[in-house]
Amino acid sequence: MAPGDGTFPLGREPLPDAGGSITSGAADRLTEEERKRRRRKIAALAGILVVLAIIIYMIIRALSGNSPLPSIPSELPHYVSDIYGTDQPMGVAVSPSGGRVYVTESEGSRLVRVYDSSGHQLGTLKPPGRDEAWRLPVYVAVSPRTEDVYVSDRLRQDVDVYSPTGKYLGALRPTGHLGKGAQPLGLAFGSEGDLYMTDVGGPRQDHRVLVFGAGGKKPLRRVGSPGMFWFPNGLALDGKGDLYVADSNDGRLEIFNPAGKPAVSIERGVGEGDLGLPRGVAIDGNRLFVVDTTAQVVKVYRLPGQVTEVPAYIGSFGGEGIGDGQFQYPNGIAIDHNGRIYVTDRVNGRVQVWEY
Amino acid sequence: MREQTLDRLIRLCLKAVAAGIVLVAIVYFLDRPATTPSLVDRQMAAGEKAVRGHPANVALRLQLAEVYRAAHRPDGALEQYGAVLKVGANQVALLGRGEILAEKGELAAARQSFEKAIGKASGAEFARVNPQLEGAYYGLGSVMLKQNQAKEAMLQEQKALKIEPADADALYLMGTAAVEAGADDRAVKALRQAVLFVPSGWCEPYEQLANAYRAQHRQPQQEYAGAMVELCEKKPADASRRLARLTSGPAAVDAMLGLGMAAEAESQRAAAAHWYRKVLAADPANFDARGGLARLGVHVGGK
Repeated sequence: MAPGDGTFPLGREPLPDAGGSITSGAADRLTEEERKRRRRKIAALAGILVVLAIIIYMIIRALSGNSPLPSIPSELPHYVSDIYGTDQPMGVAVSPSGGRVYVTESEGSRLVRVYDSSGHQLGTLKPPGRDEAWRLPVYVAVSPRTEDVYVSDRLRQDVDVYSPTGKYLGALRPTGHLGKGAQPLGLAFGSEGDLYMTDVGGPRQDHRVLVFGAGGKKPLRRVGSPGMFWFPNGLALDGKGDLYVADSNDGRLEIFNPAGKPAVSIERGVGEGDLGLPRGVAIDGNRLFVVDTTAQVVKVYRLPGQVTEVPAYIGSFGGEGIGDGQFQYPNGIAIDHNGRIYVTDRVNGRVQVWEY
Repeated sequence: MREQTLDRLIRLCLKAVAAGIVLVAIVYFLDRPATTPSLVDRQMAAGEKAVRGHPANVALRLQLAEVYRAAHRPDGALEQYGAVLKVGANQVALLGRGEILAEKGELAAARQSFEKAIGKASGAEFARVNPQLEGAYYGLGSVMLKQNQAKEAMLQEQKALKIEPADADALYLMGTAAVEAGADDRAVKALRQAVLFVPSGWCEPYEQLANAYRAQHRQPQQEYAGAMVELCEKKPADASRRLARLTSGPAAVDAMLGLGMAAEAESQRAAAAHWYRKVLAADPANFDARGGLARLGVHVGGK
């Protein structure tokens, strides 16, 4: 074994001096060199162990469902790719495991198309016994408890429920005093599996948010006073139970505390962070994402510690066009457990994937 | 620790690192979304396939030319327009060809293309409502302005505006040509109309308006237009400071309108409504102030 041949010298035998004999001075010098070499090897081993620890950390991250590479801190995400195959997609949702992406189709066959996280179509969902003239799926949400898929249908004025395997489980038609005449639109789940639904039935006075207990058909309560909303669309809940509702035709986002009391709002306007026609809403950690359909962008806000403060505007991504990362009337938004963002790009007929 | 053991450990750890890197790379690439051709590439591929299947179909070639333009491939579009023009003097192809050549700086060839398009359409039955003819007049005026023929450019823009009086681009070009030709009154008239149609987010008309007012020695109005350039450049606070000094005098209504727009840009809804109301008090028919109040959700009575 020789130095420079790609292996490590064992270093046990003392090296002979020029005359072939070992003097005491030479022995001291050799011992010193040996020590130095040993120190270098220990340092190298320590370095390799650090690299190994980082790799193990990344593998553990990947096994626990996160991206193996920690993301570089950034205020706004970057465009990654598109998912094609849906005609005028409106709503999008991701299963809790992130393995399935559900996209509603508002033209053509009017199906709910199911993709894997790489964008390969796995199948479709549709209610039985009706052709596309009699259905119009709009928004979709996945129960965090059962992974059942809930799809609002604007024509049939109900919510179709499917099992995680795609089996049709039935239609949810709100009942009771609060639920009668409801026309479901936006859907979102609370952490306990309670369903939040925007209801756009009847005149403006009746537009509201209805809250159902897990699996229930009779609304437990309503959110929003009469006349407060005008065609509320997407909605989302943060980890504290605060509710964020896109009050679309009023051009604002209403924020409610967990008791359902209005706290603050982001208003319509032309200023930085003001809204035009908000539709889809999603929350990831302390970031709030609002799809502003007419501005052709997704606006990003930082959630404050208190619901009484207006979220701070960070910036937007997108812009009008048909190129990569451009939108034509985006609508729905969903975020998976990796922080990967899915946005339905309606007129361009695709779902865009963005990442941090 | 014996050195031999140390060596063995190092070798073992290096093997583990190598295996780990391979594993992480596999997981990372499996986790990536599938790469798909872009929408433009898809449309281009479909268009090319269609043209290959039906090479004599003019409509398909024009569609493909549009896709090439969207994909920033002007030479591909020119090729398609050229193929169409071999069949006959197609107006859409002449207009598209002229626009691309003008963008490429080939002004003489662009001018020829626009003139051919005009020659073909100007005497036709629907000439007074033909949007392609309007586009050709606009394009020809634009080329003439680049060729330092401001008066001739004004004439072409005037013809374009006869067909489409609300074309803000033609109004802007008319104003710019008029500034260069020294026709300041016409410049102010055209540019004010241009900013009436597009009051925010478009800085150039305000810049030219400031030039026109300067030529007319109308200092307050020039100051107003300069402030609006600042507002357009996303400096609402600076714009407001300049506009606040103009709220009495000849530029008062414009300045108050600008203050309303600046307040809106800073999400100060109450202040914006205040300024728009003041505008309406001075000029009850002011279109922009009414529009501003409508954006803010404030009811405005009357017509």
